[in-house]
Amino acid sequence: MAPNTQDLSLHPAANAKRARETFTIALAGSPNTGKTSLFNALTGLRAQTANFPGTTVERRVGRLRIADTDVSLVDLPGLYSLYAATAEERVACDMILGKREGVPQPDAVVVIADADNIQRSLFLVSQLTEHAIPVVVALNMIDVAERHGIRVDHEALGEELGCPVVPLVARTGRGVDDLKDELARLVRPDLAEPRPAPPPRTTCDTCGACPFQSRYSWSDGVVARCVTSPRVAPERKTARIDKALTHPVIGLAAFLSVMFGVFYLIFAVATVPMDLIDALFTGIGGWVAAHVPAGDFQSLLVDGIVGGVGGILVFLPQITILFFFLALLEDSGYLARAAFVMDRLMRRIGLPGTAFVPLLAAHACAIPAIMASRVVRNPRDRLVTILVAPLMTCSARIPVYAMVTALLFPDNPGRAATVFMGAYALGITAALVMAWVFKKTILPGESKPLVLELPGYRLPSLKTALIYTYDRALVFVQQAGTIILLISVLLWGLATYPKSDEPAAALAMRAQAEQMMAASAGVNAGTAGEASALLAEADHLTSRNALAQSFAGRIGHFIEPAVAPLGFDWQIGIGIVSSFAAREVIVSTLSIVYGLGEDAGGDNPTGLYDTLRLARRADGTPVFTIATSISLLVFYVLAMQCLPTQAVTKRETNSWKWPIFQLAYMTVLAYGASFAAYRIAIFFGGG
Amino acid sequence: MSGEIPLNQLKPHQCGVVSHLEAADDEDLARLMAMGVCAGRTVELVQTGDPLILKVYGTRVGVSARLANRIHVQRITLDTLGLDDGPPPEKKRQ
Repeated sequence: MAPNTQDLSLHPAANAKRARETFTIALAGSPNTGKTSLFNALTGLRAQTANFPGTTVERRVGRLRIADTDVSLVDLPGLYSLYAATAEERVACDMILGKREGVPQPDAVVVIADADNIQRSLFLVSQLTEHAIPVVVALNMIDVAERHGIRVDHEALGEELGCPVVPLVARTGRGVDDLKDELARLVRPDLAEPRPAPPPRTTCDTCGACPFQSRYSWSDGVVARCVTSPRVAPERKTARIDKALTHPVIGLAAFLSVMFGVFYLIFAVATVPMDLIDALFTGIGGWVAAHVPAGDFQSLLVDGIVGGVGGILVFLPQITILFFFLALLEDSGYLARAAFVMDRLMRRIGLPGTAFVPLLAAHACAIPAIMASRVVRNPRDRLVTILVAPLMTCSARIPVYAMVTALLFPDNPGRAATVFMGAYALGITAALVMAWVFKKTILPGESKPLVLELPGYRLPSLKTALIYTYDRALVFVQQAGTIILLISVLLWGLATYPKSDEPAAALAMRAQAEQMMAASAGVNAGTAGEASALLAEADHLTSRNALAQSFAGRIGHFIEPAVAPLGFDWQIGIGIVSSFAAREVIVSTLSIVYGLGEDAGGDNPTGLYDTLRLARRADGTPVFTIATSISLLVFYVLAMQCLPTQAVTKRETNSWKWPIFQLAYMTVLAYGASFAAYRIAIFFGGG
Repeated sequence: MSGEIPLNQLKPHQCGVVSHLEAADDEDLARLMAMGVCAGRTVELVQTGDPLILKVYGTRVGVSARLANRIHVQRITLDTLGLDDGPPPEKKRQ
């Protein structure tokens, strides 16, 4: 590193030249004008998503080559005007005006205007053209405008605005090359003929009573001179569909069925690729185990790293399915209607209608849900949504629910189903109540009244949806995945160290097995079977002992006094500690600590349930009484117990404060509720 | 029939010219104005309720009723502006 730095400092000129070689173009425009389509048409998959430094506002940066120069294109958040109303808009404005620290001012701005509704877009265009930064107007959706009989004289418009206007169709790529040609004139002004200077503008932001009023009057004039349109806007289709979809009852029913469909797909379809990823990584683990000598290094590779990477990728099916459908719904114009109809209901707990989407998605997995909380525009409301989303019952809790219901009602599916339903209801209630509490206490403030554009319906673009899905998957793997991997290696260490010797009982069993093998000399198949059973028993004993002696085991022992009031013993304590990374791990951990082997939980759950039912405390009473089982269930409904979620919360809130708070409040909530549930169950004779 | 009324009091598919917005420094009102709900502009009430839908500059905007209450308009009774997109004004909904 050092020689390199020195080299650069010796050649400041070269350095400066390199900096100048990347020409930055910002892409600005109102929401629903096809900004993303144009960005994708210009850059394709060569884009990266990151947050603006110090914020949770995302920017996508893509690379393209114009006039043999590397150009980086920055996709800014949607913007109606330079009078920023939200944090996202403020970041976008600041960047355009070069007021954002750590982000260079762009060299040019491409502003997208909706050809079908020019008047509305002109507001932002006119504001931008007043700043000392080159502007090119991309007049998008010119095909839709033509279909509606709207004719735009783009050259006259360009003269009025004082900047080039390029008609195009971002979705099909028509006119995109013209835009690139226009940008080439800015990138390499030395190669282009100079354009005539723009005429002076007659708008004024400060002299009227209302800065908006004078600008609108000006844009009325411009539109009158450059655009001819039929008298009646042909919008009947949208009006008719909206009549149903924004109806308080029909709209709600429609939305619930759409969301149920998406949710069902996440639930049902995602399991196939998830099982495949699981199997693939188990296979890789097996291959590594066969090729690397046994020992700590092998264990680190297999359980820590391969297991950790698998644990990251296993979330991808749910993430991609959710974001693919969300992108389609948003692009079609439907998502705005969904937010509209849910607004009145969600407002009762102080959240906007859009918050319903992530909260429902959290029933599949909190990770895509928290990533999807960006649909909530207000930062405070978005934070509340993120905080409560993990309370919803996700699919990782199902193995735990299945275990507890099997312990409680082994032969009564009706009652088992009731317990399942109760667990879901508890999670939903807790999330809604906590959202309401947060809005009243730590994140006060009335939720923002709804102001939401309902764009015209259109056929969603598959390409946009796929690129968006790819982008979300990449963000998850790159930005949350690294934290998750570190955590899995750390937890592997906790469960592996310090090492302990094989217990005497296991050694005795092994010796006995060897004797039996020697005595029968392989003649008696029955004896050989008994011997291998003994060896397996010895293995179980060893792994149980190793876990009990490890840091995780010691923490389990250490927290026993703390979890005893919930009806848990130290084995369950180990289960809680080891399932910090993923809830479902408690099933396999319990199977180890109660002496069944690691695989028993997965392949033969009935065996596990039988063993758990037989588990006894020191005083000979059963461990899993009704009260303890209910307490364990309540704990797992409400406790955080998912470090990947925490990694995503960190990424989305851009601070460690909120994941830590989330962990703390959920643990306190889970503890309190479990304690209450345990006491109540004992009171009713469940002890 | 003229005089200033809050936007909520328009009937479905009636238009009004915005006369003023209360508390224009409010960031939500600023957002409405950037969308075109600004003094002198014509808006149409497309659907009543809370939130309600209004149409301005050919764009439908969902607005919560308490915000719409602060937008004051002059009712236009004659449908002369060619802004009506849907079926003719029909039976009133609450």
